[in-house]
Amino acid sequence: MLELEEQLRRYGDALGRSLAHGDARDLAGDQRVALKPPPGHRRRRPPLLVAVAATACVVAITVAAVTVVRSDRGDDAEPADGQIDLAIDAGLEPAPQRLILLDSGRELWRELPRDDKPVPLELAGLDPHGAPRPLPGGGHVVVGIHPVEEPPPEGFNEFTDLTFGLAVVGLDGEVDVERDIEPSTLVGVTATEAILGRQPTDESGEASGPASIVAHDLATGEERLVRRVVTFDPDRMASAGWAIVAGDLVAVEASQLTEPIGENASRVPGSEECTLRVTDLTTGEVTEKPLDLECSMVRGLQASPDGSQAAVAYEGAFSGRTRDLPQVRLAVIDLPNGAVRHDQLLGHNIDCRTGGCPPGAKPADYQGMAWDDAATLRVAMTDLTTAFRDLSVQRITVR
Amino acid sequence: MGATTAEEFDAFVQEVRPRLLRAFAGCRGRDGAPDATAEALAYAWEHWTTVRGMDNPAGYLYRVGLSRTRSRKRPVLPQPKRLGMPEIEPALIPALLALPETQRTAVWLVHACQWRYMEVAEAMDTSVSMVGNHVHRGMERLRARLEVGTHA
Repeated sequence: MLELEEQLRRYGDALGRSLAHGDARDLAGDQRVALKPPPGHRRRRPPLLVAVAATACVVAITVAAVTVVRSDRGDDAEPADGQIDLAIDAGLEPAPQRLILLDSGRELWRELPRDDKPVPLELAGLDPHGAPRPLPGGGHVVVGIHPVEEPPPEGFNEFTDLTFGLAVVGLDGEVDVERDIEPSTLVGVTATEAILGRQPTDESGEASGPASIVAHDLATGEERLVRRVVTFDPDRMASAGWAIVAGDLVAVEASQLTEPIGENASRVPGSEECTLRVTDLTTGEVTEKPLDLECSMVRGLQASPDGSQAAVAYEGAFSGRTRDLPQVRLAVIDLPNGAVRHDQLLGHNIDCRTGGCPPGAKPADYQGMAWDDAATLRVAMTDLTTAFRDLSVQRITVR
Repeated sequence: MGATTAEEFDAFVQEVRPRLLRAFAGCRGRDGAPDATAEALAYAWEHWTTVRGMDNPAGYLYRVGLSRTRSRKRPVLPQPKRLGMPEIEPALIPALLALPETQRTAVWLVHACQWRYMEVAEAMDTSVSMVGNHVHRGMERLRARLEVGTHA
């Protein structure tokens, strides 16, 4: 039997020919309509553009994507000296850190030990929503979607009918805790709590209201609201990477304006904003600073072992020109002030298995990272020139 | 609008229309593809000064056509035999149509339409890596449903 890809290509060719020649009225009809828009031509308002809901079933990256939120001025006022007050004393992941990633070539969550082969991660039967997070003392936490039977029941809505669970996996790989929770994204863990992001969505998967951050007690399941974001801006799309540093939730968020195209929206080149946002998990207070990075999407964030810096994997600004290669980059920022200390290209996010590869392209995509020590990062990348998207690891010195 | 512009637009239609028809077939079916194409080309004419300068007008117009022809019905595609393609697995098309919409769209545009990943990413308003994931998952599902092993 022919490969499925070849069968699809041949079928597409045949159907294309049939469509192009099958109806003699087609071309004249199209051009007539094109020259004169039909009466009662619809011009609809764009709907809210969302990133988070679409990922509910397709969790493919290790960061949570959220519809961007605007905090009220009172909550987000910066300290007078322009510095974010970030206590650095506890709750950090020591070096060498564990590298957990979604091996996109094989659709498996894995842990990548240093100098060893990747090993599958115990997921307690959940499809993770947000990367599983290592616990400071060993083991890890998973938040994800319970499996949906195939085929789904009649009338099943892939956004509103999903059920979520949380599991704590111990050092021995056994599932110690397993419980149902409200739809959530895991954004970080402390020794005692899972930090969850929540955002209501409507039945089409579009964000329908402001997000909130909730702390979930791992032992008891009790939850407390850390912060509810008070305003909601549907005209920006955003992504974020998260880390817990000494009782604070550190986020680097990329957001971009969108403009309507029919019922959809398109990103506006040049409107990117890259922001460091720190939420005190006890008081809910937030401070934020703009970062000197042109980021269109944050792919990962990893705090250094001492919490003084964070590594940010991100996609470069979207120019709107297809000839520009999409860059995946790595930056290291100081956490007290957001100063950029290191910034380099990791690869071009372009799949060269179809259509050839432009000259000068370095086709590779980011998968995950961890600090080996205070100055060295292990960064896992997939090779976009091979059928199986082979994993490779780069060791990058950043100080 | 002068004759030169009209001629330019005619040439554009000749070039882009077959691509759009084929692309829309994956999400609007055999019967819905011409309507979506017509809507997209109408938009192109209305916004010709903008569209003519685009690097990937087909991808942009694909989004326009989709948004102007909302359909909650699953598309209908002809069986391969009706297209004179007996070598194609008959169960392929029902399995393709049963895929979730994002996976079906990505698989269709990449493999049936031979669009590049970057073009598909623009058409789906997502990242290249997400397109890769949709295609990968979609192909895995197709293989599972058709009981075909992954190729070596």
